Amino acid sequence: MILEAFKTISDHELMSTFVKEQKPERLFCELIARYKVKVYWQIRRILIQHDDADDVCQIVFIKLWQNAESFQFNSALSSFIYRIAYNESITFLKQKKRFQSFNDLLDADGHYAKSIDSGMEMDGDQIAAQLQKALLTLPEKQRLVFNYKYFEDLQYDEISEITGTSVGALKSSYHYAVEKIKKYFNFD
Amino acid sequence: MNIEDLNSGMKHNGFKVPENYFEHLDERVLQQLPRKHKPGTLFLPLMKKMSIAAAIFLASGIAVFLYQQNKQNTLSIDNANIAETEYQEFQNNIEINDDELTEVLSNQFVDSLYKAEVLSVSQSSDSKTNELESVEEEYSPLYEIEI
Repeated sequence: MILEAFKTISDHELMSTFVKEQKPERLFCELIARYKVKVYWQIRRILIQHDDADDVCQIVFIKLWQNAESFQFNSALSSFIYRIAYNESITFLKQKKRFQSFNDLLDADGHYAKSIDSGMEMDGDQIAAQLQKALLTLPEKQRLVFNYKYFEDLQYDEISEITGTSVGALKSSYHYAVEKIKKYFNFD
Repeated sequence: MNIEDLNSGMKHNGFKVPENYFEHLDERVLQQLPRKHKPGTLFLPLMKKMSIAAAIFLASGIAVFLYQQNKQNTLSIDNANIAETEYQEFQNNIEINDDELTEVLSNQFVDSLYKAEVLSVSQSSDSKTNELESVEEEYSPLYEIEI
């Protein structure tokens, strides 16, 4: 599939052409190419397990295809897509909670911590694995903002667009998250 | 050691991914999109038929609408000369049941996006039922409008 012709056009131009030409596959391929890695990792950091992240990642791109017309062009396409990814991840988590009787803390029964310990989800980097376990001890909102700020390097206003939380609340959550992580590792 | 050292500056999060996962992801997503044919084979000729059908509905809708408008204008100018019952009968004959229309159309379309587009065009026009069916089957031009 020759995609070089679409590589240089802006996100807005790509999206606008995609909708105008009634969603041709070749343009959708370019959309997937631009965002699949970032979207997958945002989801994976929330859901921990690859199979879950894989399911939700596919749902996100299908929803992007279905809802392309509702993109308003008054914000970044990235925010639009990341917001779908965030909402679908949270929906998935809530559904899982119903089945596994979690309380407000994501990993009350250590299910995800165990999957990290099992090595199935991790690549062998012990410190990275420890950080993920530390994050699982945080309240969900703190864990989420930490992932977006620290791993994704997103600005607070973009995180706010994605999560619907105010910038002030996000800054506060991130501050607490960092403090707790430092304590977990006994940093000064 | 501070928190930045955790990932040696690379922001590596430690999760592992199956080999070639991202390479195969595109195809797996595309397979789930509501398209049953690959562009260039059956899909495109079908698309053309739908576009023609949509154009015909639109044209017939406009024609019938203009005809009705014309008749209504005549009524208001020359009310005494046209019996109210005759007009009502004409009106009833050209109105079709929405459910019938939906059923006829839904059997013909592969892609629901185009169904929505054609339905909205058809509902705004008062077309004759039997003519619709013949268009569905043959994609041939409609009846001649007598004015």
